[in-house]
Amino acid sequence: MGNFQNATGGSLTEGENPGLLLLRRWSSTSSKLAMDLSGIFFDSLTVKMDQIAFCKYKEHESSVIAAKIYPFTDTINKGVELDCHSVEFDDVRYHIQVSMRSPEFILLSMSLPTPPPETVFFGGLPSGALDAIKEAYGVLAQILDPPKDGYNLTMKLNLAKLPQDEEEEYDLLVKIASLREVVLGAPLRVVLKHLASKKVAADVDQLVAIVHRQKESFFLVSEADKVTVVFPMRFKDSTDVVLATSFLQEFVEARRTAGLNTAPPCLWSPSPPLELKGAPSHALTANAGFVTFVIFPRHVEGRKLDKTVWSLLTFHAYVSYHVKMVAKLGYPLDLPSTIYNYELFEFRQNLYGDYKNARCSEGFMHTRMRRRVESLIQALDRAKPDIEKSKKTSHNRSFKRLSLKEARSSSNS
Amino acid sequence: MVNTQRLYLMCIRNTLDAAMCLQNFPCQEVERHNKPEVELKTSSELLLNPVLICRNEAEKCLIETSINSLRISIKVKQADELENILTKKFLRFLSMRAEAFQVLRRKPVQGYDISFLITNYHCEDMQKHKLIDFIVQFMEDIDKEISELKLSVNTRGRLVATEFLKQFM
Repeated sequence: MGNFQNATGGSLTEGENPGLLLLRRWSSTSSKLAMDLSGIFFDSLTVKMDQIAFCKYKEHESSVIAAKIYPFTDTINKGVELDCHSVEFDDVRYHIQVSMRSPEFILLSMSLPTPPPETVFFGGLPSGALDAIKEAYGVLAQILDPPKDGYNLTMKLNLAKLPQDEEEEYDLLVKIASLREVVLGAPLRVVLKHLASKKVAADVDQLVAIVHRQKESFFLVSEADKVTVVFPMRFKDSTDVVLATSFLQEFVEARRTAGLNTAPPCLWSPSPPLELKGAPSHALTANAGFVTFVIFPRHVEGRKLDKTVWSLLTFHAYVSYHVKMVAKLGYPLDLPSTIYNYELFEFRQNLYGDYKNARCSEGFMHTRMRRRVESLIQALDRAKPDIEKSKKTSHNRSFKRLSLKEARSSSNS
Repeated sequence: MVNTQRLYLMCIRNTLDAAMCLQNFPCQEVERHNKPEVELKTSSELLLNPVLICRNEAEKCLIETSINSLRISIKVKQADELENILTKKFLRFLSMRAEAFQVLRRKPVQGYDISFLITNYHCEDMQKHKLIDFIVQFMEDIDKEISELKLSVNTRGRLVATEFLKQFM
Protein backbone atom coordinates (compact mmCIF):
# COMPACT_ATOMS: atom_id res chain seq x y z
CA MET A 1 0.00 0.00 0.00
CA GLY A 2 1.41 3.29 -1.07
CA ASN A 3 0.51 5.21 2.03
CA PHE A 4 2.17 2.76 4.25
CA GLN A 5 5.39 2.76 2.35
CA ASN A 6 5.45 6.50 2.44
CA ALA A 7 5.04 6.26 6.13
CA THR A 8 7.98 3.99 6.67
CA GLY A 9 10.11 5.59 4.06
CA GLY A 10 9.88 8.86 5.87
CA SER A 11 10.56 10.88 2.77
CA LEU A 12 9.62 14.48 3.08
CA THR A 13 8.61 17.17 0.65
CA GLU A 14 8.20 20.82 1.42
CA GLY A 15 4.83 22.23 2.28
CA GLU A 16 3.26 19.03 3.49
CA ASN A 17 0.79 18.69 6.29
CA PRO A 18 2.83 19.03 9.46
CA GLY A 19 0.76 16.22 10.98
CA LEU A 20 2.02 13.85 8.35
CA LEU A 21 5.48 15.10 8.97
CA LEU A 22 5.32 14.36 12.65
CA LEU A 23 3.88 10.92 12.08
CA ARG A 24 6.38 10.14 9.45
CA ARG A 25 9.10 10.95 11.85
CA TRP A 26 7.54 8.72 14.46
CA SER A 27 7.04 5.94 12.03
CA SER A 28 10.55 6.10 10.79
CA THR A 29 11.54 4.57 14.07
CA SER A 30 9.62 1.55 12.76
CA SER A 31 8.43 0.45 16.13
CA LYS A 32 4.98 -0.90 16.73
CA LEU A 33 3.70 2.17 18.51
CA ALA A 34 4.90 4.39 15.73
CA MET A 35 3.35 2.13 13.14
CA ASP A 36 0.05 2.44 14.94
CA LEU A 37 0.31 6.15 14.90
CA SER A 38 0.84 6.38 11.21
CA GLY A 39 -1.72 3.66 10.65
CA ILE A 40 -4.45 5.52 12.41
CA PHE A 41 -3.56 8.73 10.79
CA PHE A 42 -3.65 7.36 7.31
CA ASP A 43 -6.81 5.53 8.20
CA SER A 44 -6.06 2.85 5.69
CA LEU A 45 -3.91 0.61 7.75
CA THR A 46 -6.02 -1.99 9.43
CA VAL A 47 -3.49 -4.33 10.81
CA LYS A 48 -4.22 -7.17 13.15
CA MET A 49 -2.11 -6.22 16.06
CA ASP A 50 -1.13 -9.53 17.46
CA GLN A 51 0.01 -10.68 14.07
CA ILE A 52 2.84 -8.24 14.05
CA ALA A 53 4.18 -8.96 17.42
CA PHE A 54 7.75 -9.29 16.46
CA CYS A 55 7.90 -6.43 14.03
CA LYS A 56 9.91 -4.35 16.41
CA TYR A 57 13.34 -3.79 17.46
CA LYS A 58 15.43 -4.66 14.53
CA GLU A 59 15.72 -1.05 13.61
CA HIS A 60 19.27 -0.76 14.81
CA GLU A 61 20.39 -3.04 12.04
CA SER A 62 18.08 -1.62 9.47
CA SER A 63 19.74 1.03 7.41
CA VAL A 64 16.57 1.48 5.38
CA ILE A 65 14.74 2.97 8.28
CA ALA A 66 17.49 4.56 10.25
CA ALA A 67 18.45 6.63 7.25
CA LYS A 68 15.90 9.38 7.68
CA ILE A 69 15.45 11.22 10.90
CA TYR A 70 14.63 14.88 10.81
CA PRO A 71 14.99 17.17 13.77
CA PHE A 72 11.76 17.62 15.59
CA THR A 73 12.13 21.33 16.00
CA ASP A 74 10.59 22.11 12.58
CA THR A 75 7.23 20.76 13.50
CA ILE A 76 7.01 22.49 16.81
CA ASN A 77 6.55 25.83 15.13
CA LYS A 78 3.98 24.64 12.64
CA GLY A 79 1.56 23.24 15.21
CA VAL A 80 -0.43 20.05 14.90
CA GLU A 81 -3.74 19.02 16.38
CA LEU A 82 -3.71 15.31 17.07
CA ASP A 83 -5.89 12.98 19.11
CA CYS A 84 -5.70 9.32 18.35
CA HIS A 85 -6.30 5.99 19.99
CA SER A 86 -4.31 2.97 19.08
CA VAL A 87 -4.38 -0.68 20.01
CA GLU A 88 -1.41 -2.95 20.17
CA PHE A 89 -1.22 -6.72 20.51
CA ASP A 90 -2.01 -8.32 23.87
CA ASP A 91 -4.41 -5.61 25.01
CA VAL A 92 -2.07 -2.68 25.23
CA ARG A 93 -3.79 0.56 24.23
CA TYR A 94 -2.37 4.00 23.60
CA HIS A 95 -3.88 7.43 23.42
CA ILE A 96 -1.83 10.23 21.92
CA GLN A 97 -2.77 13.88 22.11
CA VAL A 98 -1.07 16.97 20.78
CA SER A 99 -2.80 20.30 21.07
CA MET A 100 -2.40 23.45 18.99
CA ARG A 101 -1.74 25.62 21.98
CA SER A 102 1.34 23.84 23.21
CA PRO A 103 2.69 21.85 20.28
CA GLU A 104 5.92 20.92 21.99
CA PHE A 105 4.07 18.67 24.43
CA ILE A 106 2.74 15.24 23.57
CA LEU A 107 0.40 13.53 25.98
CA LEU A 108 0.92 9.81 25.76
CA SER A 109 -1.37 7.51 27.74
CA MET A 110 -1.05 3.79 27.93
CA SER A 111 -3.37 1.11 29.23
CA LEU A 112 -2.08 -2.33 30.18
CA PRO A 113 -3.70 -5.76 30.08
CA THR A 114 -5.59 -6.68 33.24
CA PRO A 115 -3.06 -8.29 35.57
CA PRO A 116 -3.78 -11.68 37.14
CA PRO A 117 -3.81 -11.68 40.95
CA GLU A 118 -0.32 -13.18 41.35
CA THR A 119 1.48 -10.23 39.73
CA VAL A 120 2.69 -7.33 41.81
CA PHE A 121 1.18 -4.01 40.74
CA PHE A 122 1.65 -0.64 42.42
CA GLY A 123 -0.87 2.00 41.45
CA GLY A 124 -1.77 0.29 38.20
CA LEU A 125 1.80 -0.28 37.06
CA PRO A 126 4.15 -3.25 37.42
CA SER A 127 6.62 -2.87 40.25
CA GLY A 128 9.63 -0.85 39.26
CA ALA A 129 7.93 0.63 36.19
CA LEU A 130 8.11 4.23 37.42
CA ASP A 131 11.83 3.99 38.04
CA ALA A 132 12.31 2.38 34.65
CA ILE A 133 10.46 5.21 32.93
CA LYS A 134 12.51 7.81 34.73
CA GLU A 135 15.70 6.01 33.85
CA ALA A 136 14.77 5.56 30.20
CA TYR A 137 13.41 9.02 29.39
CA GLY A 138 14.95 11.30 31.95
CA VAL A 139 13.81 14.90 31.70
CA LEU A 140 11.95 14.31 28.47
CA ALA A 141 8.98 12.65 30.13
CA GLN A 142 6.93 13.85 33.01
CA ILE A 143 4.57 11.36 34.61
CA LEU A 144 1.15 12.75 35.38
CA ASP A 145 -0.54 11.55 38.53
CA PRO A 146 -3.29 10.44 38.46
CA PRO A 147 -3.28 9.11 34.88
CA LYS A 148 -6.12 9.76 32.46
CA ASP A 149 -9.35 7.92 33.07
CA GLY A 150 -9.16 4.35 31.80
CA TYR A 151 -5.40 4.35 31.41
CA ASN A 152 -2.64 3.08 33.64
CA LEU A 153 -0.04 5.67 32.76
CA THR A 154 -0.03 9.14 31.31
CA MET A 155 3.19 10.85 30.30
CA LYS A 156 3.81 14.36 29.10
CA LEU A 157 6.64 14.36 26.58
CA ASN A 158 8.45 17.61 26.14
CA LEU A 159 9.84 17.68 22.63
CA ALA A 160 11.83 20.79 23.34
CA LYS A 161 14.06 18.67 25.52
CA LEU A 162 15.01 16.19 22.84
CA PRO A 163 18.78 15.95 22.52
CA GLN A 164 20.38 17.94 19.72
CA ASP A 165 22.57 15.13 18.51
CA GLU A 166 20.77 13.12 15.81
CA GLU A 167 21.96 9.74 17.01
CA GLU A 168 20.90 10.38 20.56
CA GLU A 169 17.60 11.78 19.41
CA TYR A 170 16.97 8.71 17.32
CA ASP A 171 17.79 6.37 20.17
CA LEU A 172 15.45 8.24 22.44
CA LEU A 173 12.62 8.15 19.92
CA VAL A 174 13.07 4.42 19.57
CA LYS A 175 12.89 4.16 23.32
CA ILE A 176 9.68 6.16 23.50
CA ALA A 177 8.20 3.98 20.83
CA SER A 178 9.07 0.90 22.87
CA LEU A 179 7.23 2.17 25.91
CA ARG A 180 5.57 -1.20 26.22
CA GLU A 181 8.86 -2.86 26.93
CA VAL A 182 9.89 -0.26 29.47
CA VAL A 183 6.67 -0.52 31.47
CA LEU A 184 5.70 -4.19 31.25
CA GLY A 185 9.26 -5.42 31.20
CA ALA A 186 10.37 -3.42 34.22
CA PRO A 187 10.28 -6.28 36.77
CA LEU A 188 11.88 -8.63 34.25
CA ARG A 189 14.64 -6.14 33.61
CA VAL A 190 15.32 -5.79 37.32
CA VAL A 191 15.72 -9.55 37.75
CA LEU A 192 17.92 -9.90 34.68
CA LYS A 193 20.05 -6.97 35.75
CA HIS A 194 20.69 -8.64 39.07
CA LEU A 195 21.67 -11.74 37.15
CA ALA A 196 24.06 -9.74 34.99
CA SER A 197 25.74 -8.28 38.03
CA LYS A 198 25.70 -11.76 39.58
CA LYS A 199 23.98 -10.91 42.79
CA VAL A 200 20.51 -12.05 43.76
CA ALA A 201 18.58 -9.27 45.40
CA ALA A 202 17.46 -10.17 48.89
CA ASP A 203 14.06 -8.57 48.58
CA VAL A 204 13.09 -10.34 45.36
CA ASP A 205 10.64 -13.19 45.88
CA GLN A 206 11.56 -16.65 44.78
CA LEU A 207 8.80 -16.77 42.18
CA VAL A 208 8.08 -13.59 40.25
CA ALA A 209 5.01 -13.33 38.02
CA ILE A 210 5.04 -10.90 35.11
CA VAL A 211 1.91 -10.01 33.22
CA HIS A 212 2.20 -10.31 29.46
CA ARG A 213 -1.34 -10.85 28.28
CA GLN A 214 -4.86 -10.22 29.50
CA LYS A 215 -5.09 -12.01 32.87
CA GLU A 216 -2.06 -14.14 32.04
CA SER A 217 1.44 -14.04 33.34
CA PHE A 218 4.71 -15.86 33.00
CA PHE A 219 7.04 -16.74 35.84
CA LEU A 220 10.64 -16.12 36.79
CA VAL A 221 12.64 -18.16 39.27
CA SER A 222 15.91 -16.46 40.05
CA GLU A 223 18.93 -18.25 41.41
CA ALA A 224 22.50 -17.10 41.92
CA ASP A 225 23.79 -18.06 38.47
CA LYS A 226 20.65 -18.39 36.36
CA VAL A 227 17.08 -17.27 35.92
CA THR A 228 14.47 -19.80 34.85
CA VAL A 229 11.61 -18.38 32.82
CA VAL A 230 8.44 -20.45 32.52
CA PHE A 231 5.70 -19.61 30.02
CA PRO A 232 2.32 -21.29 30.37
CA MET A 233 1.14 -21.32 26.75
CA ARG A 234 -2.57 -20.91 26.16
CA PHE A 235 -4.43 -20.60 22.89
CA LYS A 236 -8.11 -20.18 22.27
CA ASP A 237 -8.47 -22.05 19.02
CA SER A 238 -8.06 -25.84 18.98
CA THR A 239 -6.14 -25.69 15.69
CA ASP A 240 -3.79 -23.15 17.19
CA VAL A 241 -3.18 -25.42 20.16
CA VAL A 242 -2.07 -28.30 17.95
CA LEU A 243 0.14 -26.17 15.74
CA ALA A 244 1.65 -24.37 18.71
CA THR A 245 2.42 -27.65 20.43
CA SER A 246 4.34 -28.86 17.43
CA PHE A 247 6.10 -25.50 17.10
CA LEU A 248 7.13 -25.46 20.73
CA GLN A 249 8.62 -28.91 20.44
CA GLU A 250 10.65 -27.57 17.55
CA PHE A 251 12.10 -25.00 19.94
CA VAL A 252 13.54 -27.82 22.01
CA GLU A 253 14.84 -29.56 18.89
CA ALA A 254 16.31 -26.37 17.46
CA ARG A 255 18.24 -25.71 20.64
CA ARG A 256 20.02 -29.05 20.20
CA THR A 257 21.47 -28.13 16.81
CA ALA A 258 25.13 -27.26 16.77
CA GLY A 259 24.81 -23.58 15.91
CA LEU A 260 22.73 -22.71 18.94
CA ASN A 261 24.87 -24.13 21.70
CA THR A 262 25.04 -20.87 23.55
CA ALA A 263 21.33 -20.04 23.30
CA PRO A 264 19.28 -20.48 26.47
CA PRO A 265 18.39 -24.13 27.11
CA CYS A 266 14.78 -24.69 26.25
CA LEU A 267 12.32 -27.27 27.55
CA TRP A 268 8.73 -28.07 26.77
CA SER A 269 6.39 -30.19 28.86
CA PRO A 270 2.65 -30.73 28.80
CA SER A 271 2.48 -30.58 32.61
CA PRO A 272 3.66 -27.74 34.87
CA PRO A 273 7.40 -27.96 35.63
CA LEU A 274 8.75 -28.19 39.18
CA GLU A 275 9.64 -24.51 39.24
CA LEU A 276 5.98 -23.58 39.40
CA LYS A 277 5.40 -25.33 42.73
CA GLY A 278 4.44 -22.15 44.52
CA ALA A 279 2.26 -20.75 41.76
CA PRO A 280 -1.51 -20.37 42.15
CA SER A 281 -3.58 -23.19 40.67
CA HIS A 282 -5.18 -21.15 37.87
CA ALA A 283 -1.71 -20.50 36.47
CA LEU A 284 -1.02 -24.20 36.20
CA THR A 285 -3.42 -24.93 33.40
CA ALA A 286 -2.16 -24.36 29.89
CA ASN A 287 -3.58 -26.12 26.86
CA ALA A 288 -0.39 -25.91 24.82
CA GLY A 289 1.98 -26.93 27.60
CA PHE A 290 4.76 -25.08 29.39
CA VAL A 291 7.95 -23.68 27.90
CA THR A 292 10.99 -23.14 30.06
CA PHE A 293 13.99 -21.03 29.16
CA VAL A 294 17.05 -20.90 31.34
CA ILE A 295 18.79 -17.53 31.10
CA PHE A 296 22.44 -17.37 32.06
CA PRO A 297 24.51 -14.24 32.73
CA ARG A 298 26.00 -14.48 29.23
CA HIS A 299 22.54 -13.75 27.74
CA VAL A 300 22.11 -10.50 29.59
CA GLU A 301 25.51 -8.92 29.58
CA GLY A 302 25.88 -5.44 28.15
CA ARG A 303 23.70 -4.57 25.19
CA LYS A 304 22.14 -8.03 25.07
CA LEU A 305 19.94 -7.15 28.03
CA ASP A 306 17.50 -5.04 25.97
CA LYS A 307 17.12 -7.68 23.34
CA THR A 308 16.58 -10.45 25.85
CA VAL A 309 13.95 -8.48 27.73
CA TRP A 310 12.07 -7.76 24.53
CA SER A 311 12.29 -11.35 23.25
CA LEU A 312 11.01 -12.82 26.48
CA LEU A 313 8.27 -10.27 26.85
CA THR A 314 6.89 -10.95 23.38
CA PHE A 315 7.53 -14.68 23.26
CA HIS A 316 3.86 -15.58 23.31
CA ALA A 317 3.01 -13.05 20.65
CA TYR A 318 5.88 -14.29 18.50
CA VAL A 319 4.71 -17.90 18.63
CA SER A 320 1.08 -16.95 18.15
CA TYR A 321 1.94 -14.82 15.11
CA HIS A 322 3.63 -17.71 13.38
CA VAL A 323 0.98 -20.21 14.41
CA LYS A 324 -1.69 -17.99 12.93
CA MET A 325 0.23 -17.64 9.72
CA VAL A 326 0.28 -21.39 9.30
CA ALA A 327 -3.23 -21.93 10.63
CA LYS A 328 -4.63 -19.55 8.07
CA LEU A 329 -2.92 -21.58 5.36
CA GLY A 330 -0.68 -18.71 4.64
CA TYR A 331 -2.28 -15.35 4.18
CA PRO A 332 -5.88 -14.97 3.27
CA LEU A 333 -5.91 -13.04 0.05
CA ASP A 334 -8.24 -10.28 1.16
CA LEU A 335 -5.98 -8.92 3.89
CA PRO A 336 -4.62 -5.48 3.16
CA SER A 337 -1.34 -5.64 1.39
CA THR A 338 0.27 -3.84 4.28
CA ILE A 339 0.70 -7.18 5.93
CA TYR A 340 2.72 -8.31 2.98
CA ASN A 341 4.77 -5.18 3.27
CA TYR A 342 5.38 -5.96 6.86
CA GLU A 343 6.42 -9.41 5.94
CA LEU A 344 8.76 -8.30 3.19
CA PHE A 345 10.12 -5.66 5.47
CA GLU A 346 10.89 -8.33 7.98
CA PHE A 347 12.50 -10.49 5.37
CA ARG A 348 14.69 -7.64 4.38
CA GLN A 349 15.90 -7.71 7.91
CA ASN A 350 16.78 -11.33 7.50
CA LEU A 351 14.39 -12.71 10.01
CA TYR A 352 14.21 -15.81 7.89
CA GLY A 353 17.77 -16.00 6.80
CA ASP A 354 17.28 -19.40 5.24
CA TYR A 355 14.39 -18.50 3.03
CA LYS A 356 15.89 -17.63 -0.31
CA ASN A 357 12.73 -16.04 -1.58
CA ALA A 358 10.64 -13.73 0.50
CA ARG A 359 7.50 -14.74 -1.32
CA CYS A 360 7.88 -18.39 -0.56
CA SER A 361 6.24 -18.27 2.81
CA GLU A 362 3.43 -16.08 1.59
CA GLY A 363 0.61 -18.52 1.56
CA PHE A 364 2.96 -21.38 1.04
CA MET A 365 0.35 -23.97 1.84
CA HIS A 366 -2.23 -22.31 -0.33
CA THR A 367 0.03 -22.26 -3.33
CA ARG A 368 0.99 -25.86 -2.82
CA MET A 369 -2.55 -27.04 -2.55
CA ARG A 370 -3.64 -25.09 -5.60
CA ARG A 371 -0.85 -26.65 -7.58
CA ARG A 372 -1.93 -30.08 -6.41
CA VAL A 373 -5.51 -29.39 -7.46
CA GLU A 374 -4.30 -28.40 -10.90
CA SER A 375 -2.32 -31.58 -11.33
CA LEU A 376 -5.32 -33.65 -10.23
CA ILE A 377 -7.62 -31.89 -12.65
CA GLN A 378 -5.14 -32.65 -15.37
CA ALA A 379 -5.26 -36.29 -14.41
CA LEU A 380 -9.04 -36.20 -14.69
CA ASP A 381 -8.87 -34.45 -18.05
CA ARG A 382 -6.74 -37.23 -19.33
CA ALA A 383 -9.70 -39.54 -18.82
CA LYS A 384 -11.76 -37.65 -21.36
CA PRO A 385 -11.41 -38.91 -24.90
CA ASP A 386 -10.25 -36.34 -27.40
CA ILE A 387 -13.66 -35.48 -28.77
CA GLU A 388 -12.69 -32.06 -29.92
CA LYS A 389 -9.67 -33.24 -31.75
CA SER A 390 -11.50 -35.89 -33.73
CA LYS A 391 -14.26 -33.43 -34.54
CA LYS A 392 -11.78 -30.97 -35.82
CA THR A 393 -10.14 -33.40 -38.20
CA SER A 394 -13.45 -34.59 -39.62
CA HIS A 395 -14.52 -31.00 -39.94
CA ASN A 396 -11.49 -30.25 -41.94
CA ARG A 397 -12.08 -33.19 -44.17
CA SER A 398 -15.69 -32.46 -44.98
CA PHE A 399 -15.19 -28.80 -45.70
CA LYS A 400 -11.90 -28.87 -47.45
CA ARG A 401 -11.39 -25.61 -49.21
CA LEU A 402 -10.60 -26.16 -52.85
CA SER A 403 -9.02 -23.67 -55.08
CA LEU A 404 -10.96 -22.72 -58.22
CA LYS A 405 -8.77 -24.77 -60.45
CA GLU A 406 -9.08 -27.86 -58.36
CA ALA A 407 -12.83 -27.47 -58.17
CA ARG A 408 -13.13 -27.34 -61.91
CA SER A 409 -10.91 -30.25 -62.49
CA SER A 410 -12.74 -32.34 -59.93
CA SER A 411 -16.14 -31.46 -61.40
CA ASN A 412 -14.92 -32.19 -64.90
CA SER A 413 -13.61 -35.57 -64.11
CA MET B 1 5.11 -49.81 4.07
CA VAL B 2 5.25 -48.87 0.42
CA ASN B 3 4.41 -52.44 -0.47
CA THR B 4 1.25 -52.56 1.60
CA GLN B 5 0.10 -49.32 0.06
CA ARG B 6 0.60 -50.74 -3.39
CA LEU B 7 -1.48 -53.76 -2.51
CA TYR B 8 -4.18 -51.58 -1.00
CA LEU B 9 -4.37 -49.41 -4.08
CA MET B 10 -4.26 -52.45 -6.36
CA CYS B 11 -7.19 -53.93 -4.52
CA ILE B 12 -9.16 -50.72 -4.90
CA ARG B 13 -8.27 -50.54 -8.55
CA ASN B 14 -9.50 -54.08 -9.22
CA THR B 15 -12.68 -53.55 -7.23
CA LEU B 16 -13.44 -50.36 -9.11
CA ASP B 17 -12.74 -52.09 -12.37
CA ALA B 18 -15.33 -54.72 -11.54
CA ALA B 19 -17.82 -52.33 -10.01
CA MET B 20 -17.80 -49.71 -12.71
CA CYS B 21 -20.28 -51.24 -15.10
CA LEU B 22 -22.97 -48.62 -15.06
CA GLN B 23 -25.89 -48.18 -17.40
CA ASN B 24 -28.46 -45.52 -17.97
CA PHE B 25 -31.43 -46.13 -15.72
CA PRO B 26 -34.31 -43.67 -15.38
CA CYS B 27 -35.96 -43.31 -12.03
CA GLN B 28 -38.65 -45.88 -11.28
CA GLU B 29 -40.77 -43.65 -9.06
CA VAL B 30 -40.86 -40.37 -10.89
CA GLU B 31 -41.36 -40.16 -14.59
CA ARG B 32 -38.69 -38.42 -16.67
CA HIS B 33 -36.30 -38.28 -13.77
CA ASN B 34 -32.88 -39.83 -13.81
CA LYS B 35 -31.11 -39.89 -10.50
CA PRO B 36 -28.09 -41.65 -9.06
CA GLU B 37 -29.66 -44.62 -7.31
CA VAL B 38 -26.79 -45.03 -4.88
CA GLU B 39 -27.65 -41.66 -3.35
CA LEU B 40 -31.41 -42.14 -3.19
CA LYS B 41 -31.54 -45.80 -2.23
CA THR B 42 -35.24 -45.94 -3.04
CA SER B 43 -35.38 -49.45 -4.43
CA SER B 44 -33.19 -52.15 -3.00
CA GLU B 45 -33.18 -54.23 -6.17
CA LEU B 46 -31.08 -51.55 -7.88
CA LEU B 47 -28.33 -51.57 -5.27
CA LEU B 48 -25.41 -53.92 -5.08
CA ASN B 49 -23.49 -54.97 -2.01
CA PRO B 50 -21.10 -52.30 -0.77
CA VAL B 51 -17.44 -53.26 -0.58
CA LEU B 52 -15.25 -52.06 2.26
CA ILE B 53 -11.50 -52.21 1.72
CA CYS B 54 -9.36 -51.57 4.80
CA ARG B 55 -5.64 -51.12 4.98
CA ASN B 56 -5.86 -50.65 8.72
CA GLU B 57 -8.32 -49.16 11.15
CA ALA B 58 -7.56 -45.61 10.21
CA GLU B 59 -7.35 -46.07 6.48
CA LYS B 60 -10.24 -47.49 4.54
CA CYS B 61 -12.23 -47.16 1.38
CA LEU B 62 -15.94 -47.86 0.92
CA ILE B 63 -17.28 -48.59 -2.55
CA GLU B 64 -21.04 -48.56 -2.92
CA THR B 65 -22.56 -49.49 -6.25
CA SER B 66 -25.95 -49.31 -7.89
CA ILE B 67 -27.25 -49.78 -11.39
CA ASN B 68 -26.44 -46.30 -12.64
CA SER B 69 -24.02 -44.84 -10.13
CA LEU B 70 -21.08 -45.60 -7.91
CA ARG B 71 -19.94 -43.93 -4.71
CA ILE B 72 -16.39 -44.14 -3.40
CA SER B 73 -15.65 -42.84 0.09
CA ILE B 74 -12.13 -42.62 1.42
CA LYS B 75 -10.81 -42.29 4.93
CA VAL B 76 -7.29 -40.93 5.01
CA LYS B 77 -4.87 -41.97 7.72
CA GLN B 78 -4.29 -39.41 10.46
CA ALA B 79 -1.49 -40.41 12.76
CA ASP B 80 -1.65 -37.38 15.05
CA GLU B 81 -3.60 -34.21 15.63
CA LEU B 82 -1.44 -32.19 13.31
CA GLU B 83 -2.14 -34.59 10.44
CA ASN B 84 -5.79 -34.48 11.35
CA ILE B 85 -5.89 -30.71 10.99
CA LEU B 86 -3.91 -30.71 7.78
CA THR B 87 -6.11 -33.41 6.26
CA LYS B 88 -9.24 -31.53 7.18
CA LYS B 89 -7.93 -28.32 5.70
CA PHE B 90 -6.67 -29.90 2.52
CA LEU B 91 -9.80 -31.94 1.86
CA ARG B 92 -11.97 -28.94 2.56
CA PHE B 93 -9.91 -27.06 0.05
CA LEU B 94 -10.57 -29.82 -2.48
CA SER B 95 -14.28 -30.11 -1.73
CA MET B 96 -14.70 -26.40 -2.27
CA ARG B 97 -13.39 -26.95 -5.76
CA ALA B 98 -15.67 -29.92 -6.43
CA GLU B 99 -17.00 -28.18 -9.53
CA ALA B 100 -13.65 -28.58 -11.20
CA PHE B 101 -13.60 -32.30 -10.51
CA GLN B 102 -16.87 -33.48 -11.98
CA VAL B 103 -16.83 -36.70 -9.97
CA LEU B 104 -16.08 -35.23 -6.53
CA ARG B 105 -18.91 -35.09 -4.02
CA ARG B 106 -19.30 -31.81 -2.20
CA LYS B 107 -19.75 -33.51 1.13
CA PRO B 108 -18.12 -36.73 2.22
CA VAL B 109 -20.24 -39.64 3.38
CA GLN B 110 -20.47 -39.71 7.15
CA GLY B 111 -17.44 -41.33 8.74
CA TYR B 112 -15.20 -40.67 5.73
CA ASP B 113 -13.00 -37.81 4.68
CA ILE B 114 -13.82 -37.46 1.03
CA SER B 115 -16.27 -39.06 -1.40
CA PHE B 116 -16.67 -39.42 -5.15
CA LEU B 117 -19.89 -39.98 -7.02
CA ILE B 118 -19.57 -41.50 -10.48
CA THR B 119 -22.65 -41.82 -12.65
CA ASN B 120 -23.19 -43.54 -15.94
CA TYR B 121 -22.90 -40.17 -17.66
CA HIS B 122 -19.37 -39.74 -16.34
CA CYS B 123 -18.53 -43.17 -17.69
CA GLU B 124 -19.90 -42.18 -21.07
CA ASP B 125 -17.87 -38.98 -21.15
CA MET B 126 -14.65 -40.42 -19.88
CA GLN B 127 -12.67 -43.53 -20.39
CA LYS B 128 -13.27 -45.98 -17.61
CA HIS B 129 -9.72 -47.09 -17.01
CA LYS B 130 -8.46 -43.52 -17.00
CA LEU B 131 -11.14 -42.60 -14.49
CA ILE B 132 -9.92 -45.40 -12.24
CA ASP B 133 -6.37 -44.15 -12.74
CA PHE B 134 -7.53 -40.76 -11.55
CA ILE B 135 -9.10 -42.11 -8.37
CA VAL B 136 -5.98 -44.06 -7.51
CA GLN B 137 -3.70 -41.13 -8.25
CA PHE B 138 -5.92 -38.96 -6.12
CA MET B 139 -5.47 -41.27 -3.17
CA GLU B 140 -1.74 -41.43 -3.64
CA ASP B 141 -1.50 -37.65 -3.95
CA ILE B 142 -3.48 -36.98 -0.81
CA ASP B 143 -1.12 -39.12 1.24
CA LYS B 144 1.89 -37.48 -0.34
CA GLU B 145 0.54 -33.98 0.11
CA ILE B 146 -0.37 -34.49 3.76
CA SER B 147 3.06 -35.79 4.64
CA GLU B 148 4.74 -32.97 2.73
CA LEU B 149 2.55 -30.38 4.40
CA LYS B 150 3.39 -31.83 7.76
CA LEU B 151 7.05 -31.69 6.95
CA SER B 152 6.81 -28.09 5.85
CA VAL B 153 4.96 -27.09 9.01
CA ASN B 154 7.70 -28.70 11.06
CA THR B 155 10.41 -27.02 9.01
CA ARG B 156 8.73 -23.71 9.49
CA GLY B 157 8.46 -24.33 13.21
CA ARG B 158 12.16 -25.12 13.28
CA LEU B 159 12.99 -21.89 11.48
CA VAL B 160 10.79 -19.84 13.77
CA ALA B 161 12.43 -21.42 16.80
CA THR B 162 15.95 -20.99 15.46
CA GLU B 163 15.38 -17.33 14.71
CA PHE B 164 14.01 -16.75 18.18
CA LEU B 165 16.91 -18.46 19.89
CA LYS B 166 19.43 -16.64 17.71
CA GLN B 167 18.38 -13.40 19.35
CA PHE B 168 20.05 -14.47 22.55
CA MET B 169 23.40 -15.21 20.97
